[in-house]
Amino acid sequence: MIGRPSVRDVAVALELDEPDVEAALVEHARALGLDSPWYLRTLMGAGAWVAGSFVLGFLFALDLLSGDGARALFGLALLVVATAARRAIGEDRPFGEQLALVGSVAGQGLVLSAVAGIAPRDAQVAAVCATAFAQAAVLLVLFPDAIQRFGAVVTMAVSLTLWLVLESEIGWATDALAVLVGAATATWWLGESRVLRSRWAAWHVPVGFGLAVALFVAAATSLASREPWAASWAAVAGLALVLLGVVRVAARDAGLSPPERLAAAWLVGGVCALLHAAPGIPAALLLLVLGVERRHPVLAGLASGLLVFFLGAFYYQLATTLLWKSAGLAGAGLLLLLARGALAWSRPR
Amino acid sequence: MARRTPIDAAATGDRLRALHRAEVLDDAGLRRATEIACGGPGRDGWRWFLERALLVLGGGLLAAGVVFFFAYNWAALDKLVKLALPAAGLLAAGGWALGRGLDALDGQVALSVGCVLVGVQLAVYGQTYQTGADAWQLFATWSALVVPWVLAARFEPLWLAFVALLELAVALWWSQTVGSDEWWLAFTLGATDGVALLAAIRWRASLWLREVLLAGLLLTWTLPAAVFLAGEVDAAAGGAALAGVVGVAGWLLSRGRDLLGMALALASLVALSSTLFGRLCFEALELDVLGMLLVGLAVAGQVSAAVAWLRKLHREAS
Repeated sequence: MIGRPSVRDVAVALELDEPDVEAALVEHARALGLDSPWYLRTLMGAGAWVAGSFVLGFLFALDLLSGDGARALFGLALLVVATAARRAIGEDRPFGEQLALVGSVAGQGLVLSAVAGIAPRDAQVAAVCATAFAQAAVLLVLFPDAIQRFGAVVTMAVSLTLWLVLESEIGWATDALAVLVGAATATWWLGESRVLRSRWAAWHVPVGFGLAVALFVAAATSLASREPWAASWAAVAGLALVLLGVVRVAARDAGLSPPERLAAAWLVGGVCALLHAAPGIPAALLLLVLGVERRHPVLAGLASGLLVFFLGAFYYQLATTLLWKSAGLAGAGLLLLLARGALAWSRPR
Repeated sequence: MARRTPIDAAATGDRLRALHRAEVLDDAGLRRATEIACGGPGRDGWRWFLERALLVLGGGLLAAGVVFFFAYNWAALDKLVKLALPAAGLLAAGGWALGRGLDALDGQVALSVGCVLVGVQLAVYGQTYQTGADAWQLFATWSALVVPWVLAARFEPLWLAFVALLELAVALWWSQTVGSDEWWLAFTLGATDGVALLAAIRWRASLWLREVLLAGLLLTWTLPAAVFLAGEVDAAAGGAALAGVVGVAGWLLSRGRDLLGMALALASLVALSSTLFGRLCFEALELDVLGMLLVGLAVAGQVSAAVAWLRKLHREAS
């Protein structure tokens, strides 16, 4: 019921000629190698990673890469070759695609290890984080591969988070990052229709899921950077505001009346307030609402997993007693069940 | 079951852009198509989702709140109350399963919850009375007690969870009493998967369950077989595992009906032959650095050949 409409649904709505649609889709699947089952592409990709690792092991064992300068040069050369190869390969070459990815990952690792060796000790973390961020940003644009783009967004988030946690003196920086990533995630997914019509269409899914994982990293770090897993009111309140914004858009799109929109906002606000001590709940709920609003079952499934994770982490949070946790959980549960009752009562007969 | 055609697949951005490239959709059509594909679920869709999500999430949070409340007061609770809590849950789950029947999904889920609560009951009993039992005894007793329910439920996820529970009991027993010959443990776990797989085939279980059990069987046997081929494990356990992998792979490849099973079998065989080739390069020929290059090329060649053959079979079959 919340899944995407099929191509047939779209074809019927737009009165398209179904045999033409079918022929175009078959050709598309053949061009991308999607006519092969997923496990054959997975086997090919896994084989490329194993074979690529041995070949790289051979190159590393040649003893040419003992100095930082040599590692940096070889790493950069590997990145250039891998990027050029990936751009030349195109689609339907799972072995070549994965081999190029192995080269890219190895190149990034070599450059980072060289930077760590060259940078002065007191600037090492900042230099490595900045290089990782810059490499990922360049590869996001130049390396046309979904896995690389997903990894680039996650790498950028992780390097920024690490720098903020280890180097930054600003106490609220990780909270601000969590809220900013939450807002970016919401904007990206809500703008899906616009992105899919633009030249960035191929970026939509990898960047969208990269942002979802980045939100998890940022929310968890904002909480874990404080002992002991204490929720930051600023991060919780900021993410709750982003969530309320998404709920407002979803309620408008669903055609809810103003009193119904107000009730939805009170429900979300009430749950966030009752569970304000529970780490990351607004972040997980944000992804869940986005997953349903965009009818993306994988995003909704990921959000459900994060919800379970953050509820589990709540158990280990030592800043609140079990009695208060119990009251918050039971209160939020009762509120949701009351909302369910109201929904059932309002069902048209 | 009718074969799923490409037009019945979800209207993703990739597919809509493919229609645009093929000029089935013009610019205005692409705009309208993405609006239809990316639109929200609407009032009815949200109602459908919320009626379920609010129930599950609300019930889950309320239950977690109750559990946290008892955890807060756990030390002060009487022994009988401690024992009565999981017992009450067990009775409720059993009652629900009886009331709804085991043909209904919620009846099967209730019985699965009951199976979990049997373990909770045993753990609470062990903690309350300090029985001094080893961990493996808890899991073994738990496995034995739930056998009739697992058989009665005919619920595939429960069957898989039961196999995992049984293997955990075997692994704990092995580490706490035998304490050595870990490769025989790996062989035993693979054999357990094999017996479960044969039962699943006999009961005409779903393909996903059979493939998960097959993957477990091949993985747990391929590891000791590869270590044996590398010369690092005793001949009996490694040889038995190697014979097992070759036998299962031969059976799957000779039948030629299950493409995913054949892919798993070929992956195992590639791992084993590459290990043997690596030993030849590094030990017999003493190639060291060049050996790494040769092994990498050998893996690439074998995987490419295996996938090319399987793709050919797939195209012939479809």
